[in-house]
Amino acid sequence: MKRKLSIIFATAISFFFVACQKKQYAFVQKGTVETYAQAPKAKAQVIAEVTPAAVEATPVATSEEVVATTLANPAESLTASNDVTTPAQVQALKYDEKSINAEFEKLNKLEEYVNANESTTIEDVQNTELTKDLKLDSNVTSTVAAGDLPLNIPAFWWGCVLGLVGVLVVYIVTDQDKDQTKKALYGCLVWVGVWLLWWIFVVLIGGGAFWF
Amino acid sequence: MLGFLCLRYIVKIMKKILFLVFVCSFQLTFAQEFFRLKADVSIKDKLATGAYRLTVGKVYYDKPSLTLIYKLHFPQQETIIIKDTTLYRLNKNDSLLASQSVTIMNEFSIFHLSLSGRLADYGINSGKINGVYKVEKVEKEADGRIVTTWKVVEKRLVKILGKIKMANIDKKLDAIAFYDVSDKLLSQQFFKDYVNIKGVIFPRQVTQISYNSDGTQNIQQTTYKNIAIDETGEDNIYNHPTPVVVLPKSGNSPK
Repeated sequence: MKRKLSIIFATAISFFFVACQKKQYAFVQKGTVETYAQAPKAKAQVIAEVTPAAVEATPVATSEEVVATTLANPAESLTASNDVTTPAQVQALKYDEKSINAEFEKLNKLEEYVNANESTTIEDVQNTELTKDLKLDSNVTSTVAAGDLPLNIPAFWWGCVLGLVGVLVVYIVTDQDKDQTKKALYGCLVWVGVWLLWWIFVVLIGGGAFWF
Repeated sequence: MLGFLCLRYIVKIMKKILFLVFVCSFQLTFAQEFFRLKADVSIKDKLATGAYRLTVGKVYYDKPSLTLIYKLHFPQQETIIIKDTTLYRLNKNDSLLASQSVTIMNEFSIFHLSLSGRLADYGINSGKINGVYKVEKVEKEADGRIVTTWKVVEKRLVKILGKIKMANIDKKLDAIAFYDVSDKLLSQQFFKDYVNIKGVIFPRQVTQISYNSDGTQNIQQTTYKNIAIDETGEDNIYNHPTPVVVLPKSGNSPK
């Protein structure tokens, strides 16, 4: 009962947000908030035109750098951020074999051993030289169900784009997977943050006209 | 005389029928439908948290029943069955450990697409999603790769789904990239080391990179070995009965 209530409450809040957004959009359509409406549109067009060339020209951050950052502060990997520039910096459809192989260098020895000894389980290799520097995760379900989220969209984006509804979708679809739901929640928080900033910005720029 | 002419006429017709049967069977050979795939599989994951995963075993796919089965021996002996949007985990004694809903559509798995000969365009132009995407741009790169950009044309999905870019070499899918609506790269997959087994073109290495908003990434590399197509035997695995999930007991109803 408690669970149902929380779901209903979350859905109601989401609808409220969506309604607010629609109202805001209507004002933008009417031209009440001219300053805001035109600026991002123009910016988006510029980005759309520049992106292909920019993607080619942008130096790709090596995966070692990314790994180093991750290992330096693992907690950061779970922290939501407004900086969403990295995916754009990655060269799409370009396979960097060296860096991918480097990522799995530590795991390759274990893989070789397991392939050679079919009956090996994780208990057999725990606390051995093969797993010495490895932080092993044995969640098989996540492995075979990788990209399992609807439309192959990561949990963070479900939360970020659809807010609480997205979090709910992730929660239900992943069968209450805490990690995925957490990611969706971070996405949702980023969405709320951006949304609040947007409102504050609109109120400051549009002034009272927005509200009436 | 009349009987002879009739006999001659019948023989003539029979010859034509035989010729048609021959031609049809010839065509059927080329349009052969493959229905099963088996391979040794090794999946390596590097997570954004710095943790690793290694999953090793065998994978079985049965196309008619759309059933995907993993017989794993590492990290532990277990069987995973994915069928009808449900994932079942069984221990080595085939007892159900857990089940959960998943949105994996086996029809879009690499196994189904390869057996159907539709991996080249990731099945994007057929089946349930036919009409959702349309080719926006086709470019030829200096290295000979053909890069196709697909945009969403289905009105209801335009605001949810982003474009898809795919690169093909010799009509084989080399890479595919998924974007969000604002053209941010979400994930990409690379298909390498193709092999042709009985006419089924299958990549022996698939690498998937998913990008997180904070700049980190998850990498998964899957390697397939000893790929077998339409093998006979092991029917008990391909047709593994779907485990029955025991529902929680309901309370006693008032009499």
